[in-house]
Amino acid sequence: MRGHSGLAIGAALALTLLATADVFAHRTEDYLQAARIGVEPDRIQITLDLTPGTAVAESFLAAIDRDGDGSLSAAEQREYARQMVSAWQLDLDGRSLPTRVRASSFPDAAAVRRGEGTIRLDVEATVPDLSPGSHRLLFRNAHLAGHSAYLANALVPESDRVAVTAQRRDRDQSELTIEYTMPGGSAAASLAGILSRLTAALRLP
Amino acid sequence: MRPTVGIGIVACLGVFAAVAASVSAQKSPSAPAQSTAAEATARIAGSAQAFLATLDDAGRMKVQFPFDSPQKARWSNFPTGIFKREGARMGDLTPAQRAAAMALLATAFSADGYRKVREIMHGDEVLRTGGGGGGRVTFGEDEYYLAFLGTPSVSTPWMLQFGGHHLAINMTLAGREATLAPSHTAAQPATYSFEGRTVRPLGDENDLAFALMATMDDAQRTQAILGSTMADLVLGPGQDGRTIQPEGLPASKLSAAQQAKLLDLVREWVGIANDGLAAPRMEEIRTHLPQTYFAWSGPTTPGSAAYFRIQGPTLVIEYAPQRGVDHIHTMYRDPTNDYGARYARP
Repeated sequence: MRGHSGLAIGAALALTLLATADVFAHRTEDYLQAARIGVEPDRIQITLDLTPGTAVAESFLAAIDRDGDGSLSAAEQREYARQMVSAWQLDLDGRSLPTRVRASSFPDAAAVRRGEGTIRLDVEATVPDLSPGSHRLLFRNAHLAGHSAYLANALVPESDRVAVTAQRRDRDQSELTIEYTMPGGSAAASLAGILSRLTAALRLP
Repeated sequence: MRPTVGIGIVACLGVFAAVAASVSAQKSPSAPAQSTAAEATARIAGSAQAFLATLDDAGRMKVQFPFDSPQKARWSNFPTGIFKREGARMGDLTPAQRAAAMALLATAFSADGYRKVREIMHGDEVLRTGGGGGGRVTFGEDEYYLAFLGTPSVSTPWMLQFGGHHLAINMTLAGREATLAPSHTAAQPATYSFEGRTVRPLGDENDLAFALMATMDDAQRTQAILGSTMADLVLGPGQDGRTIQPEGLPASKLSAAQQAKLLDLVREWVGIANDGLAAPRMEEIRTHLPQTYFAWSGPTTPGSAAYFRIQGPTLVIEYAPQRGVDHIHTMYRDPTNDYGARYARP
């Protein structure tokens, strides 16, 4: 191989920059947290990708690497995953759903420092038997609030027994409400669902 | 890469002749009718083989991967220094090899698609000459990579992969069938001057979307506009295999004229491919139009930074400004056929 003359191309192009000096303006000083939520008849599956910007990479790594040995041990990863999930709220029809981390993956520190390191959590919640009709799932992510940009989306359900009917988010997408239906819903079942949610809401402080 | 000189020169001349004819044909109004998908694939495979003929054994080893290699999903919006690409680096090729590589792209893409790709690459050269980069990060037209997955063929599936900062074209070909999904186009700067003219690599995407929004009445806009900010692409790099729930305004609630505008917008991505390959894909998308949705986030005044998404049963397009109008990321996917998943394996 031999090098190609980048200089020659540069001279030939005679390019003039009209833009401002916003060079390489990828996300740097905050975190991107992207949640994809799968709603199935018997479970809720949440995949969350957390990508720190380059400017916050060192402080982010330091927060996970509690013993400061330069590597992210399995125990440190588990603890950070626990912290992340503890900042979530997951409610189905007004009732909190317990979650468990099914899997997690952490990039190496070098990838985080380059800005391409993404932590991925796969979290699951078991759904109790639901009556046919309409249901409402609320997901709220308060992890690194004030320092994050959020995305939150429902996935197309794998099961044809679930139909997502609406998604509502707050302004910054740290909160997503998914409305969905289960088949076999009758007017009576829908009414039962409404009453169930109302009862649950009244129980809330 | 040290060329096999004689073969290389002959191959290049042949490629240039073929490409000249191809690009010329694509500018003709009747070209799509004349250029069938199978013919387009044959021309592209021929150009790919001509490029390979300019390389020595080591060069060919570097550029070729098995069809189902993990290399398939190794693409990114990031520049060199943050993301490491494989394949033939443009800056490492001789002028003849590089000419053959670009001739291949001119054959694989439509005239507009080739222009768009070149303008994205020029944009990265603008970053380089404007003092961008430094440290590990490197910008510029030399930092784009070409790779093949599988053997270029007129019948069995293979993939042409070309990308660098803000560009990832993954074109899978299988005889009469082809897909560009998943592909990523982006631009920063989104506007620059070149040879005395203003260049906007993704300007048509932006302008057609705002033009479509301008035709909508209040009821349509209310349904199309999502009430939250969109920080980035939802299905960008690393998000293969996911299908998000469609949102926004169904195309069935658009007038015929508005549907035509929506298809013009879709063509900005589909039409990157050679016209012979793009035409059947556009027909497929047109067929699914009643199940296709258009969603918008952000101001509707032209010149603003606004996100939009077009999603149908076989299509996801996203356009996501990155904190302003001068840095744009876009994504093109087919949930049923990313990387040619529908095509029979070799």
